[in-house]
Amino acid sequence: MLRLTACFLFSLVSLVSVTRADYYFGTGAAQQTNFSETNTVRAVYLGRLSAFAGTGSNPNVAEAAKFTSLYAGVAIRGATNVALYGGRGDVNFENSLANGKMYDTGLRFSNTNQTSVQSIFLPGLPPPSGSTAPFALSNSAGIGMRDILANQGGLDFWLVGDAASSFTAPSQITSTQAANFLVYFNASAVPEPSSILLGLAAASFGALKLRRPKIALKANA
Amino acid sequence: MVSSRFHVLFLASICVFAVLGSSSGAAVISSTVNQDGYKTFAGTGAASKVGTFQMGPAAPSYTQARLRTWIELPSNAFGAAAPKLVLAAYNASFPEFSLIFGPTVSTSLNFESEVPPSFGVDERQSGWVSLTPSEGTTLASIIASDSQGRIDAWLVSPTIQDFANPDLAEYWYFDSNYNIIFETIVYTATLELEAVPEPTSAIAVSGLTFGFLALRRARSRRLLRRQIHA
Repeated sequence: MLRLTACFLFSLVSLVSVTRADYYFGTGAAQQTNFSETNTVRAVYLGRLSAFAGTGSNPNVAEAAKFTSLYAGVAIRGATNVALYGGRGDVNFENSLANGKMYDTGLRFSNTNQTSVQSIFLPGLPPPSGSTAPFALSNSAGIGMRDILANQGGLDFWLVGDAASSFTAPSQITSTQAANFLVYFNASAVPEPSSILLGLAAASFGALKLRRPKIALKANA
Repeated sequence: MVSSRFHVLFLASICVFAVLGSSSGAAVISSTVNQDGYKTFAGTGAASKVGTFQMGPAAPSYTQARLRTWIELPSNAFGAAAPKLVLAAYNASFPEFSLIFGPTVSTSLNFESEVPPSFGVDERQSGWVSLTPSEGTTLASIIASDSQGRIDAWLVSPTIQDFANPDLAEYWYFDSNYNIIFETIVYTATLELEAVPEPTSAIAVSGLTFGFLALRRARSRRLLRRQIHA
C-alpha cells in the first residue's frame, strides 16, 4: 500500500512538472512615459505592453497558465528601492492597487549613482545577452498579470517609491533618442488534456506493476 | 594743405571712435563643460548642480547671462516653482535656498516645463536675462575670488524636487540577434556672461588713440614748417 501511494504521488508530481514546464513567453518593450503621481507613494507610469515577442517565444497568452518569472529593464534616475508593479490602470495607481488590479513583481530598482540616468536590468540581462536566472514571480502576481494580459489585452507598468522620493524614468534621452523599458516573461503552459490522460495512464500502469508481485506472493503463501 | 590736415584728422577721429566703440562695448564670455548632475535637497525643494564654469579673469561687472543645458523637468515646473539659475562660488557648499546669503547670485533666468510636457531630458537654451548692477558686481567678486575664475552654476527650485541636470544617460537597443546593446550620452552645458569692460582697458585704448593723433598732428606741423622754411 505504501509503495502504491509513493508511486501515485511520484506520478502526480511528474505530471504537474511535465504539463506545466516553464518556457520563454516573450519580451515587450516600449518608450517610457514618465507621467508621475504622488499621494501616499510616488508612482511613475512606464507604459502599457500589449505585444510580446522574441526569438523562440510563444507569446500566445491563451496557452499560458501564469507568468512564472521575469527580467525587467528601465531607464531610471535618482531611485532607491523603487518597486516595479504590473497590472491594469494607466492613471490613479493607488486606486488600481486598492482594487486588486496591480501586482508587485518583487523587483526593486536602485541607482548606483545619483547623478545619471541609468539603464538597469533586474535581476540581470535576459538571454541571449546574459545568463542570470530570471526573478521568480509570486503565484498571485504571475496569475494576475497573465489574466489581465489575456482578458484586457495589455499590461500597465509602474515604478513606485516613497512619496518623498524624486526618482524619474525619463521618456527620452535626447530629442531623437527614446528611453525604453523592457519586460521579459517566462510562463508555464496550461496543462493539455492529452498530457493529463497520458500521465494518469502511466501512473495507473505503474501502480498495477507494483501490485502484481504482491498478489503473486499472496498466492504462493 | 589745410583741407588735407582736416581730412587726416577726420579719418583719425573715425578710427578713434571705432576703436573706442569696440573696446567699451560689452564682451561675451562663454564656457562649455560636462554637466555635473549632483543634486541636493532641502525641505520641499532641491538644487541641481549644472557644472563648474571657467569665466575668469573677472570683469568689473556683468550685465546679462544665459544658459544652455540638458534638463529634465516635471509638468508642474512653472512660475516660482520653475528651477532658476543661481551662480555661486566655486566648490562652495550649497547655501540656503533663499540664496541671498553668501557669495551667490540668484538670477531671474529659469526653465519652465514645455506645453505639453516632454517628460524627457531636453536641451534647452535660455534667452539673455539682465543682471542688476548689484548682481553684476557680486558676480564679478565671486569670479575674482577664485584664482582660476571658476564659478558653479546651479538650478534651484523651492518647491519641486523631481527635476535634474544629469551628467549622462544610458539607453539600450536590440541588435539583430536580440542582444541588448548599451550606449551613453554625456550632457554638456554652456554658460555665457556679458561683461562690462574694465575701465583700465578703455582708458588705455583712448590714451593710445589720442597719443597717435597728437603724434600725427605734430608730424603734420613739422612738415608744414619745413615747407614754409623751404
